[in-house]
Amino acid sequence: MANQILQTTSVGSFPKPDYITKARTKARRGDMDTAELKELEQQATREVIQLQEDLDIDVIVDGEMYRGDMAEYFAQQMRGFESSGLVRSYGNRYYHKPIVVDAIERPNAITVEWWKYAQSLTNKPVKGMLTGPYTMMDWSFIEYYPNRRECTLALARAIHDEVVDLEKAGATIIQVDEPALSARADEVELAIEAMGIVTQGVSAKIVTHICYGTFDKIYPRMLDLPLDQIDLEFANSHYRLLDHFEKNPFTKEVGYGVVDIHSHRIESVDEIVAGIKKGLEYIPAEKMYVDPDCGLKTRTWEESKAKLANIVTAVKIVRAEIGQPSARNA
Amino acid sequence: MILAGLGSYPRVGDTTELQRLRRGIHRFDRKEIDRDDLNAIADDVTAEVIREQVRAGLDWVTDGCIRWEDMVSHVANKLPNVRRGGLLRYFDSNTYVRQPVVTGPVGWEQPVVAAESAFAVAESPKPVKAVVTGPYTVAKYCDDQHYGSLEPLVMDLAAALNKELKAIAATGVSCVQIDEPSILQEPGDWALFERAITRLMDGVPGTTAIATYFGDAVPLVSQLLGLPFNLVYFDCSYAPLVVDALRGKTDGKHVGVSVVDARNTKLESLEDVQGNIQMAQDIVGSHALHITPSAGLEFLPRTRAYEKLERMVAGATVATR
Repeated sequence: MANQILQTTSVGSFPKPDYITKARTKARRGDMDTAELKELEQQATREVIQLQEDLDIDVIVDGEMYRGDMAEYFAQQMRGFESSGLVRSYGNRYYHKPIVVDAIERPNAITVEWWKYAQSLTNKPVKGMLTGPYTMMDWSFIEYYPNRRECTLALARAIHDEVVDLEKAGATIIQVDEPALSARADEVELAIEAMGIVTQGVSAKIVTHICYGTFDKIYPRMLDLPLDQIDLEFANSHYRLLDHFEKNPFTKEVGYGVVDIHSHRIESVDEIVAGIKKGLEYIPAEKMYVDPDCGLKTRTWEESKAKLANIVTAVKIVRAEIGQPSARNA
Repeated sequence: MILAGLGSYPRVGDTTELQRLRRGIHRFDRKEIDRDDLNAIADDVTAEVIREQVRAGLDWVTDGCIRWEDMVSHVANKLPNVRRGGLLRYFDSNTYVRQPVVTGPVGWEQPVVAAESAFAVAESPKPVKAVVTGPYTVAKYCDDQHYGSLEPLVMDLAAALNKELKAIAATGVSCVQIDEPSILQEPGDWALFERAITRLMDGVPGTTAIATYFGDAVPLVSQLLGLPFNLVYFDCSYAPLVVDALRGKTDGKHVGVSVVDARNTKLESLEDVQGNIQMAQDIVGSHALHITPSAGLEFLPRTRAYEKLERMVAGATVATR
């Protein structure tokens, strides 16, 4: 398994079943206790992992059934954060943004229990899944620290402790997402410095997911991130990101997004095969992990299943065509 | 000295009453109320937001951009051959805009937002400033499926928006403000930008302004001051050095300087606000000075947005005493 080329995976979130959405609303109103909510979240996690097993996906995610917003979830479990009044996300959607009001600390492990639970359900590796320090900073109001840098570095130290705890628990792949990285090119160095703190002394494979933004301004500088794999959206820009690799080769493992998670359309197997082959002109199969562009939480369960099924089928076709690396090298 | 907002204002607050527009849009989406019902709610919230700005002590107010789905697509998506597309991240604000999808030549048939300006003018006891996102910034966010390059899209948007600006100017607003944050990210596009702005402002009567934010305007200070506007607004939270860069360059042009950060809840101290206003007065001269937040206030919770305006007004009161 470890030598399998073109391993399949997912970026993180899965659509929440109705019973979870309803349960979370009830819990927020105080009409459901946390034990009952947790039981339902575990049930949903089992279903998400079973789905990935059934689809024959190689690297498993827990689906984040117990999380709401990816910044708020961590902010709620660290010291130093409060929650703001409502601010707009887009259109008619509003949310409570974290505010850093005091020194940031991580008094207890945040995700380790959930990771252990998820890993207990499968023999395949389950990714540890964290939100990175730069993104946590960028998606918060900062009242306590004098500047963005100090806030980011404090977060990096807290997240480092979480990475270490996940590794101690047995996680071999840990994803530290930095979707905000592409928004502000002048702070790439800060994000790199912070990731250095997060990953210092860690031997687990570290992955980060970065969303499409001002990619032309952060590439190839982002290759200096001290980690093993960068997961990117390729499908939603019709693989135009690959043009950047012409001049500056991509030097890390890639998480290679081949289905658009903002679209209801189910990409065909042929289309995904063609997308993978385009990428193989720039990145060797040993270093390519194939997945959707981003988290699947905005899609329906049926759409997610259909998209992932086509990814797995497409990968198997390409694997059969090009063979295993040992065979090719012989 | 004029105290003003820069455009948007939080459209919801934390009480049930302050969330009536949010509920109204939900009910409209579910077809429980019709367009007229929704407009009535938006009118009511717009009037409330204008009263709030007046109560805070602003000299010039805006309609708060209460009806805007986002800062990019509000006007653009109502133009011929433009439709509402998917979500795209808006700068580093962790907010998203609906990408305008351009499917043919962009034109203009009739006023699309001028009625909003007319409503604000009728409601406000203070001068009203209308805000329109400019052709360059809109074009940078478009999914262009027609032109194939930036320049013809920008220029057609400029021509279309020029007609809209004339319709807005005719409603009795005291100032028309063009927002062009994207040019700060792409100073290399200046020549194109200048052509587009010249086309955009051709024959637009009355007081006009341009606002840039979310970036460092220092390298473009002279060029921005040379554009055909009466007033140029600068974001001094993102780039505090911009105030100093204005020294000796304003040449009678009116300049807006921000003294509170519209992107962070941290409330500036009265001393800092007052000191920054005094410094701006020394450099620009008080007769030519506008004092503002660094951007539209919709990135803040409603109560904090109001407190920032109050702090700004208090700082100006002390500074001019």
